[in-house]
Amino acid sequence: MARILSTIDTSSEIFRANSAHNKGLAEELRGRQQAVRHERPQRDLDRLARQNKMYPRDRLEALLDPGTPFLEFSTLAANMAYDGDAPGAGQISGIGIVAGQEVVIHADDSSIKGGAWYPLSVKKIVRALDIAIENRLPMIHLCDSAGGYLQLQRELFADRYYAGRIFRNQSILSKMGVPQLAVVLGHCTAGGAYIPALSDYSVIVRGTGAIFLGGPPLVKAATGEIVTVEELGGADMHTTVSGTADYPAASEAHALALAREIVGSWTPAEKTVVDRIAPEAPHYDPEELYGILPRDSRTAFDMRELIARIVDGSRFHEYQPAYGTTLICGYARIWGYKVGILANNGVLFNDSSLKGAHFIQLCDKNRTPLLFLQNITGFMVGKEYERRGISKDGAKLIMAVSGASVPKFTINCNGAFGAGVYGMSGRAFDPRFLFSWPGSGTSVMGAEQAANVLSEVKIRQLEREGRTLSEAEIAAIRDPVLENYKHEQSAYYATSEIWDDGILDPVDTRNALGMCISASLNAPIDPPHYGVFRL
Amino acid sequence: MTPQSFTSVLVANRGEIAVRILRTVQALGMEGMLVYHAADAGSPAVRMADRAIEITGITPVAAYLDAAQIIAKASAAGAQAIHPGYGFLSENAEFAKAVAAAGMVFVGPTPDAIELMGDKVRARNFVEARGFPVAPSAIEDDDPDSFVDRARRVGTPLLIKPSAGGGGKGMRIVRDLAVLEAEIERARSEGLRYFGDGRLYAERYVEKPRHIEVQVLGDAHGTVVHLFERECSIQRRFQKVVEESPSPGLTPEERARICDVAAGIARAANYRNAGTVEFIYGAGEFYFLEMNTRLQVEHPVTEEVTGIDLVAEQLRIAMGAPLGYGQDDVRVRGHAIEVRLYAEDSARDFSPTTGPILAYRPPQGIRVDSGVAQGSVVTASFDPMLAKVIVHGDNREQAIERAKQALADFVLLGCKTNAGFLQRLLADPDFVAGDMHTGSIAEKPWLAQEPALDEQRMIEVLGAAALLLVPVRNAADAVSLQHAAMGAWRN
Amino acid sequence: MQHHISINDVPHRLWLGRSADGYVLHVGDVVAPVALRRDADGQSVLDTGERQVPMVVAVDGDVIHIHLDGEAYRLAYTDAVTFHAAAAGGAAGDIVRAPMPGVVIASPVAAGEDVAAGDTLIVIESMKLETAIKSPRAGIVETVFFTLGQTFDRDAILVKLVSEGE
Repeated sequence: MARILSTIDTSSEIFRANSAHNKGLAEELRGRQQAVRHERPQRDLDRLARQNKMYPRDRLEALLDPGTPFLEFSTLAANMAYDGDAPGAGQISGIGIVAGQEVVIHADDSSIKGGAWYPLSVKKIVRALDIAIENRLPMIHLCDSAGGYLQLQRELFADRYYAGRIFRNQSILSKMGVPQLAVVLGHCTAGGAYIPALSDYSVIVRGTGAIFLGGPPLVKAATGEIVTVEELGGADMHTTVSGTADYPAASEAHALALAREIVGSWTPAEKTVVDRIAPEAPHYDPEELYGILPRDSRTAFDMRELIARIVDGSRFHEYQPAYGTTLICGYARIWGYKVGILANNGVLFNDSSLKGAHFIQLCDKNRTPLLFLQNITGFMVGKEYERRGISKDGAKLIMAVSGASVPKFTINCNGAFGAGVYGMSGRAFDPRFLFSWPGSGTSVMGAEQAANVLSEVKIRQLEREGRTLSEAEIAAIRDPVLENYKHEQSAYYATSEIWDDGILDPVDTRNALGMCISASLNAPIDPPHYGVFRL
Repeated sequence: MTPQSFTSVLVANRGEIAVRILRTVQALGMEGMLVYHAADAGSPAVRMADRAIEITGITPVAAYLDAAQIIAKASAAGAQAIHPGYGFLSENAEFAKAVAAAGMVFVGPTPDAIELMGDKVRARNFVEARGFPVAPSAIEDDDPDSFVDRARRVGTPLLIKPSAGGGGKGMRIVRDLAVLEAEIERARSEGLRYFGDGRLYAERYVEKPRHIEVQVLGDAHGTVVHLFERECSIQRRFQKVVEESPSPGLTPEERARICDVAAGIARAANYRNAGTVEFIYGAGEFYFLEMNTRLQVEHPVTEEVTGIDLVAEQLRIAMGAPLGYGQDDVRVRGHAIEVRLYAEDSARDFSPTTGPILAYRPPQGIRVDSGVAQGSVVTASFDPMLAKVIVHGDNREQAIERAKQALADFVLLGCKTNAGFLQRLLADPDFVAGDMHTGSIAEKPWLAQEPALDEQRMIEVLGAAALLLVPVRNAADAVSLQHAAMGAWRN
Repeated sequence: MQHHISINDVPHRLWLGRSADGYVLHVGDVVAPVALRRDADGQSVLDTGERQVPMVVAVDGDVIHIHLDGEAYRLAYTDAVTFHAAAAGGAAGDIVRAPMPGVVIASPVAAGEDVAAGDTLIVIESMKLETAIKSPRAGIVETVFFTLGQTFDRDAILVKLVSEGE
């Protein structure tokens, strides 16, 4: 496979300006992640210490095999919700290595509101379970939650993908034969009681762990019965009397050691065999990604330069290099795994849509996972293109994306707008994983365009009332719309709402994809089969 | 007992001393027999013996103390002589008599000599009566009215202790006779408080005492020679750890005097065979402590400096042969050091350790008297001494260096030993200077502590162990190469 | 969670990882490649990349003995579950262990007997010293594991008291 020949001048003014800008974005991301992970009011830390509990991040590190990676999901979930009261949505989730096995870990962050479940907490837990189901990954729950956040119960209880989905997903995972373990490190009250109860294995810490449908205050209110936490749902009761939990533990460290031993007893799944060779680091320094991404996302650049800094040896076999050139298609390797890459080098035309649909089918036939690198403003519009069937050709691409059986991975590198999101395996198309880079955004159309459309309506209405507007008056209408739109299409907003699996520092993309591809191969790949392509 | 010739010797002992004795017995062309308890089956001594006879007992130690059984089995096996080694039955006069009564030769002194020296008070009186130095003392019970005066005559420094005492309780050291009566009253009240007994005993206190002993040999024809002294001041828990000859603490005049006194005592006792006269030495004075009527653990240092095989001499003397040489024929060449390798944990107050000996490689070209081998199991049944490393050098410095090197080269794995402690001790500046006394180890508790590991060494041993531990290696192998290569990456 | 290995009874933590061509030791902040070449007689050479370190090793299950540079090291592995159960107290209060190897010279209590804290459970002799082993708490004797005259190793369980779990 030929190496991509980079034409980037790393000493140029533009490169250096881009680099400074994008490094700034990455630093901001790191700073915000650091705050979410480690900055807590002292009183919350004191409370954990008083309860003889480990800090949730320390629990996670103790559970993992040392010297192995952890791919964390949605670190900045809820960063724009609940006035910032629930950093990370009060949950930690990700893929890590325990006793050598790839597992999905979900941990209540009891340093935040006692681990209470906000609506986005529920969404994050459901997503973690979806990841486990889609990739057939064993799951470990570190339970320590005060229960649902009652003030917002309407947003987390009744609907299809609300709290009940957690327990439905647990049951489905078990039905699939994928093992699941709950470590009860705090209280599991009400619905939360079902997490250990529905897990194949459970460990509970003596003294701090407890499982009950209703806690002592609720029991007293309901029946007048006065009962202690230990009597009602403590470790000894559940492991010797009710059988709700399996293993009593003397401490959190003991519980986590038991958890590791239990996971070690699981027979690892046979992984799906795909084309794979020894990995090779990219020839071009991934740090150069910062200098390639433009400061203004509307500035065009060659996506091959990004590919060269993500894939093994910067080697890339380009498919149909001369046809439909606004969509780059081709084969490369990431951590040795062969992948088929689709990357936008402009808007999607008829030919680029057809090329993409064809390439997806090729990859599906030869069992090659797909990587979508989004930098898309949409499909081409206009009379000429409609006559050529741009909607019909776009539909072919969407049909291929939707129907592909091989695992799909999507990175929003520089923006994903309009129907281009559908053609490039957006969230609705069930890519196994979807990550955003810090400067990217997503919305139905670009911010300037949307602001113009939205302010135009208002301006025309005023004009009909006979008013002529000055430039300043037009700006006064347009600018707030633009600001709000920019806010809601930003990567931080998208990740706050869990439209993705998290924002990635671009230099982490290769490792993240390596983790994702490896994880995805725990599930078998169906034979190719599709719906009807409109020809 | 009539001296008589013999061609077979049964060793009524075990461990390193059994091996040591068998070596000479066999070198002299005699048949070497051994009694052993099942706990010692497979030991180097059993393997070495021309004939090994099992003995039984409630405990292994009890078997080796069972005189009647041993004599019966020795007789039945046709043994003509019995060598008792040290410990067990070696200083048991009744055993010596019974051996003779059974028609065998006891390789050791006469029962009379054993009895005399075995009674500490009799031995002291015997030695004192013949004008040899014993520590001046006064016993209150002898005449309570004159006790203070007699104590005053003992002179300073003076140690006053309760007769019923032990463990240092109630002991007072008096350096100024002006306070003697006050100190006596204090000691008496403490004695009453701790032991319910106020009677006292006073003796000359020796500051920083050294333990010096002299090897003697006497034949059946009245010839007694000394084989010079051994210094055994390095002790822990009242047991010797390092012995050497000559003593670095004696002037030539002192050496000549102490050796002459030892030979004189042996002569006075009409002593026959090998024996050791022990002295306490301090501030230029030395006093008789006791006489050991047997082969000593530390006899090899004497062998190394004099070139005389003490076991061979014991056997010759037991056969009635004359020594055949006089005092002037005994010469000291160079310097010898013996270090005792114990199964013990110096950092845990020298408490004994146990375990299987998984690897055993003694240093090459060095005398090692050992009772263990690879595959031996060290148990709590017996004394924790595993082996003795004996080195000889042209001078003391060279001997110390050789001893350190020999210890460093000595591989013994599976049971913790005091090898590290011994190496630290041999490097101690005071030891190197020859400046030590019986309390030196207690005064230097840091020698007993293992030094903190430096990082490099820690990595080396942890690295090797990690690779050898099945669960550790399995945990490593369980992780895919890809995840291992990513390391502790976090996004 | 790292492995727990003591060196001469001093606790240490480590992790062994893999690399493309062997193993890597993680101890604290140190990461070092390690490889061990073993000859049949236990003579071994540890290769840390920078140094070739000759040593003699002997393996006794989860205990590794190493002779290196004149010193003998005993490295004992404890699996994490056992380690943390013990660290958390576990059932330690129920078990009375031997402080040193020795022989039983008196056995004043029998299974089923009530004992008070400080009562003598068993008397051992080691190094010619008698040591009375006392009860750590009041309770009922469940088992006395050694009889008169029997020898035992250090850390052997001498007496177990009935658990107070319920």
